[in-house]
Amino acid sequence: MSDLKRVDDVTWEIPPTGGMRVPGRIFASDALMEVAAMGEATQQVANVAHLPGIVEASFAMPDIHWGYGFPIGGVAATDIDDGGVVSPGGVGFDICCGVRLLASDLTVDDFRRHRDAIMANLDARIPRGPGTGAIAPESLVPKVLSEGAAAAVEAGYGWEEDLERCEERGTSQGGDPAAISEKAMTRGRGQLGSLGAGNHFLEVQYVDRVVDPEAAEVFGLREGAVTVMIHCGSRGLGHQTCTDHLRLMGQAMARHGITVPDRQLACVPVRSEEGSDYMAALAAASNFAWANRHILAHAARESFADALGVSPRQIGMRLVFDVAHNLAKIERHTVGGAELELCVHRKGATRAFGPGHPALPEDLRPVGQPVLIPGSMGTASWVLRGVEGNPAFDSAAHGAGRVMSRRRAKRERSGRQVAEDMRSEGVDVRPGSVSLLSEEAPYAYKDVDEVVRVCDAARLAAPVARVRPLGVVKG
Amino acid sequence: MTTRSVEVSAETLEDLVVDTLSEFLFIAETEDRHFCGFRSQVDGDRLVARVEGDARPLRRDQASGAAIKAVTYHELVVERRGDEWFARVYFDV
Repeated sequence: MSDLKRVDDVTWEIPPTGGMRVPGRIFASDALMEVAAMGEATQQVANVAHLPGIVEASFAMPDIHWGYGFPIGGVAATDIDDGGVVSPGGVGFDICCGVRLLASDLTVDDFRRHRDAIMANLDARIPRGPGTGAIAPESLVPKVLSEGAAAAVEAGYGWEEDLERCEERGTSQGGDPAAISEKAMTRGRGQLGSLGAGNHFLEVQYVDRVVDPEAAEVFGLREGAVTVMIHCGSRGLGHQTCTDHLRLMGQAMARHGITVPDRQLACVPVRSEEGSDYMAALAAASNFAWANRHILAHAARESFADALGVSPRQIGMRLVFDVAHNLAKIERHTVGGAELELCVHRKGATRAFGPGHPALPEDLRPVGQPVLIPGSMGTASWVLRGVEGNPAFDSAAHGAGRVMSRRRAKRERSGRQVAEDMRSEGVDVRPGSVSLLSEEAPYAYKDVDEVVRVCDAARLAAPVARVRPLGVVKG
Repeated sequence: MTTRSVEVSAETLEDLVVDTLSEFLFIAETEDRHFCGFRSQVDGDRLVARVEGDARPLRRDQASGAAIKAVTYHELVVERRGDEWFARVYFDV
C-alpha cells in the first residue's frame, strides 16, 4: 500500500513516487480512513495520479472506497492544453448517475394518512430491476440523447421551471446520438424512465433537522416537510457506452504513448479523435440520465397527486436540485495562479459550486449549489451547499460509501429480515427483489453523518438539512 | 429454454474474455433472459471464441444474485495454470 502522511485532522497525503505525476490527497477522519485503508482504495488514488496531464492532486472524497480502476469518491482534473486525458473509468460505468430531490408541502402526518395509496402507486409506476421496463416510449430516446431533460419536459414529463434546478439545466451540450453505438441504443431503448438495480432507489423522506436555515429557505426545505429523493443513472445505455470506449481507448493508448497501472484506467488525450468521440458519447449518455431522473420524478409527482386526489402543484413537489456524481466535464479552475481549462473527472463525487458561481441560477447564488448526499436506506441522507475555497476542484462526497461487500452483507441478515427491521423503524419498503435487499442494508454502509462532518471540516461543502426515510422503492 | 451462441474475435485473450461475457450480458439485458450453462471453444491461433449458452426467461422476483451491469477490465487475469485456463473477471453490479 502507498505511504500515507497525515496533513491535518481530515486530510491525508500520498507523496508522489514512481510514475505518480502529483500527490494523492484523501479527505477522511480516522474512522473513515480505517475503512478506506482496508481495501485497495488508497493504492487506487495513487494509480490515478499517473494519468497524463493530471494537475494538483489525485483527490478522494470522505466516502472513498474501492472501485474498478478509479476509487469511488475519486476526483481527477487534467489540463487539456497540456495533453490532459479523459478516462471512461474516471467517470464510471453508470454515466451521469446522480441524485434528485423534490420537496413537497406535505407533512409526515399527511403522508402517513395516505401512505398505503402513495406507496402502492410508486410500487406500480416506478419500473425497476435489471433489464427492460420503462415509463417513456422508445421513440423519445434519440431526442433525449441530444437535448436531455429539456426533451423530457417537451414530451410532457416534468415542468419547465425544473430545468433551472438541474446541474447543466439537465442538458449536456454536444450530445450526439450518432456517437452512441447500436448496442448501447438497443440497451437504452426500453429503459428510459426506469430505476435499474443495485443501489438505486426512490425514497420518500422528511426533513428531520435543519442546520442552516438561510440556505434551507432558499432551497425550499422546511423541517417536517416530506421530500422525495431519486438515485439512478443512464442504465444499460451508459454502461454499454463506457464498455465501448474502454475497449477503444485500451487499444488507442499505445498510439498515444500512454501507459497506466490498470487497464480500467484506459485514457486518451481530450484533444484527440478518440477523446472527442468519447466526449460526444459521454454527453449523449448524460442526457439520457438527466432525462431518466426527470421522467421518474414526474411519475413520483403523479403517484402522490393521484393518491391524494389533487394536482402535483397543489402539494408542492418542487425540484430542489438534480446533481450528477459520475461525470467528466470541461471546467475552468485556477491552478498555481493560472486559470486552466480542465477535464474534471468526478467518479462517485458531486460537483459543489460555491456562492456566486456564474453557473448557478440567480436564486441559488447567494448560498451555493445544493449538494445531495444519500445515506444508506433506512438511516438518513443530507443536503449540503457548496462553499467558497473548496480544495478539490469544487467537489464533495456523493454518499455514505460501502463498508461491507455485498456477499458479506447478505450473510449478516436475509432480505426478509432487513425488510422487517425497516418496517419496525416505520419505513415502508417496496423492493424489486426481497432476497437482494440485504445487500443494500444500512449496516453495509459507512455512517453518513461522519461523511458529512468531514465534508464540512475539509471545506468541501457545508450541511444544510438532514432527511430521514419514510418509504423506499428499491431497484 | 433456448440456446444462444456468440462468436467473438479479439486481439488479446483478455479482450476475448471481456468481449464474450459482454455479448452474453447484452443478450441477457435486452431479451430479459439469464444464462445457466455454457459450452465454449477457443481457436487459440486466431483468438476466436465460440460460446453457446442456455438462456431462460428472467424471473426478477426469484433473482438471488445482484444483476450484472457491465464486465470490467479491473485486475483482469487470463492465464494458463497447468492443464487448465484460469480467468478472474470483476463485474459491475
